[in-house]
Amino acid sequence: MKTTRRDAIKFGMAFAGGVMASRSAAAQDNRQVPQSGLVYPDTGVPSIVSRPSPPVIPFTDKLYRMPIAQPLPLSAFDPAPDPARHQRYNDFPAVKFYQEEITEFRWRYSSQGPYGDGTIGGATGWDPAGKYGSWHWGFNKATPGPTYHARYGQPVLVRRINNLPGVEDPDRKVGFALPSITLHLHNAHTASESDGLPMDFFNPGEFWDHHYGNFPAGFDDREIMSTLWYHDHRLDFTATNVYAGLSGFYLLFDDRDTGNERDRSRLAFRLPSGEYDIPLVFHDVQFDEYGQAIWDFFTSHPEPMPSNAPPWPDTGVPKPYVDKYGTDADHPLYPGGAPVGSPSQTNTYEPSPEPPILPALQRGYTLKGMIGDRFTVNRTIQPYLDVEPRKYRFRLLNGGPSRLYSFYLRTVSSSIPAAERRRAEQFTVISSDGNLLESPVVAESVEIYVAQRHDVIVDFSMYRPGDKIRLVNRLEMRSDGAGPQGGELDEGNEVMEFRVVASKARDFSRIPDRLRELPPIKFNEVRRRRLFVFDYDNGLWTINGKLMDPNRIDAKIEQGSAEIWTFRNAGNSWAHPVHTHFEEFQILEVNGRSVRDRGNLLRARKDVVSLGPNDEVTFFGRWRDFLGKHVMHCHNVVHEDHAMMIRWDIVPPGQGD
Amino acid sequence: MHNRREFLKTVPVAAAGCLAVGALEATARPVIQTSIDIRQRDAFPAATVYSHLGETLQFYENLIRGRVSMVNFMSIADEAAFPVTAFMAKVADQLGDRLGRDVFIHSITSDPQRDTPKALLAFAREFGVRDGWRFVTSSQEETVALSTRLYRHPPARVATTKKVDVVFYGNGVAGVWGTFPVNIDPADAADRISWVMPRERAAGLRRAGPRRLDEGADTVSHNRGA
Repeated sequence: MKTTRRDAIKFGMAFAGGVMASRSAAAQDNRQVPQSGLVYPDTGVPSIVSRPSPPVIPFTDKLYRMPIAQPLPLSAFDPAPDPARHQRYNDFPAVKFYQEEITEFRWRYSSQGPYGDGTIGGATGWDPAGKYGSWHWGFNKATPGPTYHARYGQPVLVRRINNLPGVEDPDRKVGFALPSITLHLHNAHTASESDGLPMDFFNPGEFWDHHYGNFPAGFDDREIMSTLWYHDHRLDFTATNVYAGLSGFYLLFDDRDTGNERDRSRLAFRLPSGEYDIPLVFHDVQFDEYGQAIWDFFTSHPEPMPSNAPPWPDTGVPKPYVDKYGTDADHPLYPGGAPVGSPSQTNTYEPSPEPPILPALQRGYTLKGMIGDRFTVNRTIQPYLDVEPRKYRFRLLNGGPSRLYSFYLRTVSSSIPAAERRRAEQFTVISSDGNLLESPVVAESVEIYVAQRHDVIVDFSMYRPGDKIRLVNRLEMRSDGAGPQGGELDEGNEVMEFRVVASKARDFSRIPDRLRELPPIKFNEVRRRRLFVFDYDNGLWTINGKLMDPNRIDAKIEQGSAEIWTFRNAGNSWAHPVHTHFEEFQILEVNGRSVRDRGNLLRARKDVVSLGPNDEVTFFGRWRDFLGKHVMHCHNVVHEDHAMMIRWDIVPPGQGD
Repeated sequence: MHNRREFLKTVPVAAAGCLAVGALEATARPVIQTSIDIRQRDAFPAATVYSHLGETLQFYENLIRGRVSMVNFMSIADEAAFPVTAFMAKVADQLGDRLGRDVFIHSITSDPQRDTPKALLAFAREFGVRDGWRFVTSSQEETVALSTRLYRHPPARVATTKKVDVVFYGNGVAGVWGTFPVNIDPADAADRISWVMPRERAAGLRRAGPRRLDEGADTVSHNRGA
């Protein structure tokens, strides 16, 4: 997808030398899977290079298909769900009840050793025997968790039980994550108490009931959404907890997007359904030599500590040093520090002068992100999927933590003449951030920042059994995870393979010319504008110069009102996928240019802004139907956990700021 | 938490020993780590630190291992422009009896050249520092190593123009570490440390939330206990 943002990062090609270095590194690398982001302008070596995950022969394991969540009878719930705990429960009484138990178990990311038992093409996923696989967290022994098939007009209640081992439980195996969790339903139009807010966590032995009304914002059918996902949102620990396994899909259907490609209803879109409607979540993961997922916050960064004695700026303080409290001359840190100097010289502590810029120290930052070297789809390393020569609906989701993707299709073995492949290797994009577009957009690539979703139709009908097509990521990521490198990889990362097999049945699905109409943008409803500047201070990521304080309300939005928000990236080399909860928005402008022209993929309802280097994005949003607190944050979850987040509240009319 | 009290008894002995042999001698000091091994020592580098109490300590072995800690960077010179120690003093007040028993605060100076142990002692007294809260200084190299571990620019890059900072908190038994921003509500900060501490698990299943809508005022969480 060629968005305007791509232009903004083209200047990154100025680092052409770096890009070339990357390619030559890839060329020397005899691993089968090219790695992105391997650019080291300095002496640092990220752990994905110094200690790469054990190798995997790609495309030997089947794609994991998550189970469909199954409801339970209300009688199975003890204590029973309590309507008094949920806003508007009686307006949207739950008609289906689900229960998830979150536990720790072993998960085989691959059948190959050390990830599985070593039988190539053998068992993957949950190991009931607990013998093979990475220790992991998940829902009812699934990670990603069960896929919900919810419908508009059918509210549900999900009880989530935390049965993880406690913090100091000697049996706890996933060491990097916090067994205190909260589950956010990403962009559901949901009351605050069911949103899964960062502070609404529950600990081992505790449960939380989430009520999902499954009604469109403002009861406007143009606000109907399709592909949502749930994930952990624990304050300070979201990155690690999602990485540990806490994510899954929540799909919403209605009387147009019915989930039935044979639907006889005149209204039905008849998009590919059932076996042919497949959610795909991408997580990049790093493993140790035992096949255990590791969270490497330290050595994954290319900026090392200085290798020799680090340069230290001359602060201008006279040495030997004396202070007014007496001499430290005998102290091992201050050898020969004879007590000289006048009190006036030493009594006061002036702020240190700004030290000279020293390259080694300049590179000493961290906190950028977390990049893994194993590409997983539905928590399987580089899987394959048998596909029939027909249309499929793939729901692509970037599950993070920090990597950004630009996906292409690549035919690797085919009966199709090369000249015609281009037509076969295209995506028909039908949604943005899980919300159906006005009309499909054909694109040769889709760019997906963390937490973003695109539903795409891929039509394999031009292929014949035996053909192979791969899904390729060509976005070159900075190896520190902070943003795109600026270039596009030629070879890229081959993430999964589609293998064409014989057709089993006729393809009844269609790609409609028209999908979901956009709700109107009414400027006369706008109560105010807000500006949020995303910046960097003291090694930390800030929004309007501040870090998250859950007790501080950064915006009081009046219920029923509309506002115009501007997100400005004050940095020229990092990117932020910025997500705001509760209700999707429509982008008006990117860098001063309208994105409202038809066919522009940003002409859509969105819940994540791709805030690339130097970008400024303005959008129109509404806040309806509930009261209470929510959050807006960077969805590079490493940034989020270091408090790149604000709290905003929906308040009664007249009480806004 | 294992061996906390035992640890406290051994510190002066270790400190005396270290000083007696001359800690500055290369042979007597641990090798400065310039890389981090995430498998060992909760990824902390080896660093010898000197406390405002006159102790010589190994930062990880003596202060982090087996305990629940908050760690922050400060300097006496920066306090006027960015009063992080004043904030930590409020957090210490909120911790009450837990400080020194269940939770420890380690404040590392990012200005070791000027913030000598005696200077830190006087500074600590200004804030009424109690048992369980140590100010420590170290060599420049090791200060850099620690600050790099704790998600920071090396301290030399920290100008007094900074507006934000974080406190690193975690459990050295479990190896779980997070950060919270400086200047959040001190009571909130004191509460966050409990997130990484073991808690009693109820016999049955407990409803954490959401709270009944008619229960209490709107607070920061919908948790029943909030």
